[in-house]
Amino acid sequence: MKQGRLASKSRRHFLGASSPLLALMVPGVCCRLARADESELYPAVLPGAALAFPRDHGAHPEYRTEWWYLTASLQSPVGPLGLQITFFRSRTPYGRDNPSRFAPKQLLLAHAALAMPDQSKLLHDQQSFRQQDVVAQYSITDTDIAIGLPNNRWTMVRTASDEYRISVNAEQFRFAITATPPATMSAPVQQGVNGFSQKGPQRVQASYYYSRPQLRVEGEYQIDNKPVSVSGTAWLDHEWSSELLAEDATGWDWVGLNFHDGSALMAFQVRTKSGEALHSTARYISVEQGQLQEHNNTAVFTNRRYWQSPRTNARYPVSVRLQTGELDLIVEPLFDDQELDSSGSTGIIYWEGAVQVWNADAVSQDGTKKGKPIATGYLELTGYANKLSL
Amino acid sequence: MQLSLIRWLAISCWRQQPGPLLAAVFAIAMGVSLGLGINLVNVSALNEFDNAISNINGEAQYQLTGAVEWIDDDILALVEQSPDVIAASPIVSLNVPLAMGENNSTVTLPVIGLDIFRAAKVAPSLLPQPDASFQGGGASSAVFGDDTVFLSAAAQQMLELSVGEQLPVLVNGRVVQLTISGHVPGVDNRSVIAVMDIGAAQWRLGWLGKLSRIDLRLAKGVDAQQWLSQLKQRGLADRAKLRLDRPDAAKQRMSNLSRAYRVNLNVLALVALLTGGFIVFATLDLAVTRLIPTLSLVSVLGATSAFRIRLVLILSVALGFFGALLGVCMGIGLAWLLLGFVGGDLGGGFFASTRPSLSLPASSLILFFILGVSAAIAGGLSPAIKLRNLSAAQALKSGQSLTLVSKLSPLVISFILFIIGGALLMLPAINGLPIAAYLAIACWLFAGVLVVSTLLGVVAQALSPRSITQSQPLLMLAVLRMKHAHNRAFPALAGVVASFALVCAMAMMVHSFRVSVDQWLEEVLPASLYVRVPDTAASAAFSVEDRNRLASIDGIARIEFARTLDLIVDPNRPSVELIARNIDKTNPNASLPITGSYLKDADTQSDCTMIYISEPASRLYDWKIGDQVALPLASQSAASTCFQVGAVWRDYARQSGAIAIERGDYAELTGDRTVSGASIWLDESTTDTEVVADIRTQLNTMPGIRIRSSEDIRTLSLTIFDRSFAVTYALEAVALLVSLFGVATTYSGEALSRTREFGMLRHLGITRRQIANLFVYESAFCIALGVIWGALLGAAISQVLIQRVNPQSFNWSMQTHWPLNQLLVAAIILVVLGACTATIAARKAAGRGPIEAVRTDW
Repeated sequence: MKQGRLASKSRRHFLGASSPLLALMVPGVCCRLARADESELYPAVLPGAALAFPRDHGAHPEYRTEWWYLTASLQSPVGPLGLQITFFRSRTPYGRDNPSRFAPKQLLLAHAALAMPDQSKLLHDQQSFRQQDVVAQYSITDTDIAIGLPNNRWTMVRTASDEYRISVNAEQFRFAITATPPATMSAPVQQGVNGFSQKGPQRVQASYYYSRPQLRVEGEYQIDNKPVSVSGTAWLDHEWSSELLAEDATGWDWVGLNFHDGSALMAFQVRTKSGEALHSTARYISVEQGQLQEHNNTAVFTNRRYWQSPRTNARYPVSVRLQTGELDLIVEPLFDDQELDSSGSTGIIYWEGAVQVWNADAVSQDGTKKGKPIATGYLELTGYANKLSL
Repeated sequence: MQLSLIRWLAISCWRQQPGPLLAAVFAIAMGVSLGLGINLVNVSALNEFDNAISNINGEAQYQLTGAVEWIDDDILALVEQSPDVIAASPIVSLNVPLAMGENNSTVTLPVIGLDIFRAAKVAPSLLPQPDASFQGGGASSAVFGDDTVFLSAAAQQMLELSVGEQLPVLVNGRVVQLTISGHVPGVDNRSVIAVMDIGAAQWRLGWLGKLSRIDLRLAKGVDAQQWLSQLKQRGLADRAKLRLDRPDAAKQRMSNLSRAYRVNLNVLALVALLTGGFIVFATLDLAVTRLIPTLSLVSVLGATSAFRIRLVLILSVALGFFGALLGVCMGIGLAWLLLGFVGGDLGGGFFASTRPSLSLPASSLILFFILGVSAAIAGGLSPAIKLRNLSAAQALKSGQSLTLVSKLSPLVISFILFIIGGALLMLPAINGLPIAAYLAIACWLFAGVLVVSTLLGVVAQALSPRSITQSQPLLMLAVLRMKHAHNRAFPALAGVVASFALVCAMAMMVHSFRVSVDQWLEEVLPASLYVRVPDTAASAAFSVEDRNRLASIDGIARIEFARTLDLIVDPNRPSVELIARNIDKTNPNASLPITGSYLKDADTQSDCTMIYISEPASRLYDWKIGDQVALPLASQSAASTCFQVGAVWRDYARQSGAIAIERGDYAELTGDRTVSGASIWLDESTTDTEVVADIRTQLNTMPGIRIRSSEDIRTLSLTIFDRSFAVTYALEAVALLVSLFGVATTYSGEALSRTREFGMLRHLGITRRQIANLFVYESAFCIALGVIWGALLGAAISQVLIQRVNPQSFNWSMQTHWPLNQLLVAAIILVVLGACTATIAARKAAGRGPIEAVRTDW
């Protein structure tokens, strides 16, 4: 009892301390513009800069925000499951001249979740540190990130053979997987125009953004020290920016879908307070006769069903109809409660869940679906949670 | 039947003499209230301190600290590589002086520098919350600001500063402006505390590369000390002399430090209770005497001696019950008043000047209630025993009062107690407390009190043949009365002797102490001016330029620099102050107030560094001259260094000990060449004020330095000394007051019981005025004897306090000095007040006419 009170108290205080911390990480929850004098503190994201690999697999510490974000839809002997891991890097405007080893110049945060549909349970955990020799490191030459103390270490490393090795040791769960790009999509998919991805009506709101869709995943997870082997597909995003969202944006909806036929779709929309789309974009990559075909379009998200969180009272459109180009898809969650309360690290509450996808014509009015899903992936819904009242 | 009879007897007792019974109740109440009041204040102050400490500590499982105030921040990396560590939180914890208010009253503020991410896992209550007005979101959060500071509600209130305002702090004497950017919501509303980001704290507060401590959470089942010894296998961790403590270690240390002081105060309060017990004795003795005819009648009718004993005991329990109840209420009120007006440390200077809120632990309330009742029962024991041997038939016939019948004469008991007391003095302190010495004082006190009535008889006997006695009929009557009925005066005398003996003992001890401190101050303050940087511990320093500028000031004949830092020698004790200063090693007498001899050249170990330890350090750590000791002093060379004790010097300033070391030796050993203070000798040609002004101009970048003349320091020290003993004086006054109650009780009883005698005297032509004079003679004679005997007894007890209690509880020694004038004044006041009290009480009692008085046949 006492333990519980303490824990909740500590979380509350921590939330109080750091809730604005990652406001910029998940745009829309907070959209304070950088102050005028801050604009000089970070380089701007400009069109026309070509991404170069493997250098751009690494970190870009001069920019304000950066993340590596991997979502996986997996099969295991005990059923389907979802897995998500995100590393955030954030550069503060402070401590630039501070010789202290604790100068808070760069913050590194990480977030991992395991979605278990058979138990309708989401296990998640988070870590946050300022960048420092032992506990929080990243490479600027390739994807090589590590955070945490030895008994709670989380790492994501890209090998020379372009294989991602991910290992997470969280309190309630562990997993260790490798994610390999298929031969058909061996090169990173550069979003937007050559990796310059506009996030709002204006050009200044943009990021450098590339994806690794259709990654083949092998590995195992452990809950209560019982290893279970898993396999499936994953999606990796790597994005960095100094200013993301327009002032009138409150949140965004994003999907990354791996189709069973080998094609992949990324779509997002940035919403205003009233829920209208401020900006949307989609890129569908199909594989036709071994050749990649790119289809760039806008995307229309239509809400089909809401789920209300019993914890935060936030109401999320967990089932959506997504129309982009010739695609007309129904996106259904693996299970409803995949809300992430990351108030312990980022202070953000959002929904991020494993989903299954059907063609719209395979789903009847009453919701019954014909046949097997044609794609799996992740749906991210941000900016729906009310400001927490403590 | 028995019970209702007892009730009837008790009520008749109350009707006959409500005054003395009330006085007895009140005396018990006084004793209980004082004891409880002081106990509650101490408990509250300790709780407050505990609270403040746990706020600064957060809720960490373990704390990793070094032997000095800081550890190298490289150690964090070592710690975080260990797989047994769940979470580690680096902390910079400082008392930062503020550049606010007057120069000579520097306010300091506890500032905690922490990493919010790491602290969240170890001690989340200290996490800061930026105010909503600070717009920076995300990574621009004010939490990480370069110069932001977060103040607890109590700190904002105390400093009268709010969010957005600047907080000017002094870092090495220079002003650094911090911006108040929010709150610390996790600490309670009494804790004055400021929180900063650890990076900003290291940078802005001059602590680069240093940490105060690392808060730790270790994995379940890890043996903490074993883990530490593994960590120490790494050179860096070993050199830092790391220690791993539970966070309550600091409370324990503070509790140990102030314990002797608190126990001393409690013992004094118990003396008041003891005196209260004597008054219960006096009252019951009187009541029993008056009840004897009634009781005799009841006994003849068949009541047993058990019944009589029960009666007295029930009476004493009733007195004790009401007295203790009243005392507990008064004690709570007293504690409340003391906390409000004097503060939690009762002037002892052990706790920061806080105003703790009152805690009321049931254990204290119950303990003092029981003590009050016990004192009353003890007071009733002797009258009860007296009644047991009542020969009812004889008593009925004679109508006379009884005298104490005991198998052992008081002189024998007294002698035995005196011997036991002497033997107890040979025993050492128990757990740092002079318990045996206190018991010895109690034995001697009882021994002295027991013989006092016999002594009165002896003195009266000696006086009776004198011509002055013979020439004055009233005086003769008085002396003869003393000679033959000296036991009747015992209750009054017992209270007077006991309280005056303790007052004398305390006064002698405090006076000796004060004179010793005064002389010591003269010795340790040879220079004219003392300059000090209000330090932020690890880095407080004058730069080399500052030093050169100081030395170049006109009018300065000599200047010496010193460096002080706190060194933890034993984790269970408070830190020892290490003083690196100029010491003439061939003649340390010139630099330090050495007690006894010092180590001659022939006995020194050439490979050891010479240290000079203070008297408390010598006693606490059992170090003697010539001993080779180990100090956890981080040495530049990895090889351990040996230290040799060169001499012991007197020190009243640092109760937990101090070690002086030659500054050159210290610098060579540690590489630390910084200094934090300077002593300045002036030329004949200049004045203090001129030089102080010059120093301020020369060091104008350091507005926070503190310059004091030796005279100022001396005055200030003695003021602090007097304040810390103010409560003692108040307690002594109360003990004397209670003893006056005893005098009043005894003499009103005397007057009543001698009504027939006075009636007879009136028949013989003696006026009422003369009877009153008779009383004045008797009481003045009695009390004067009690006071003189009390003073002698007090002198003996003062030697116990000076030679045993003080060295054993505070680890310092002093020379005896007699405060004759003060004691003479106190004695005269007591005799006059006592005689007045006695006379007034007697006059009230003997107000009836002679016929009526003679007729009274009770």
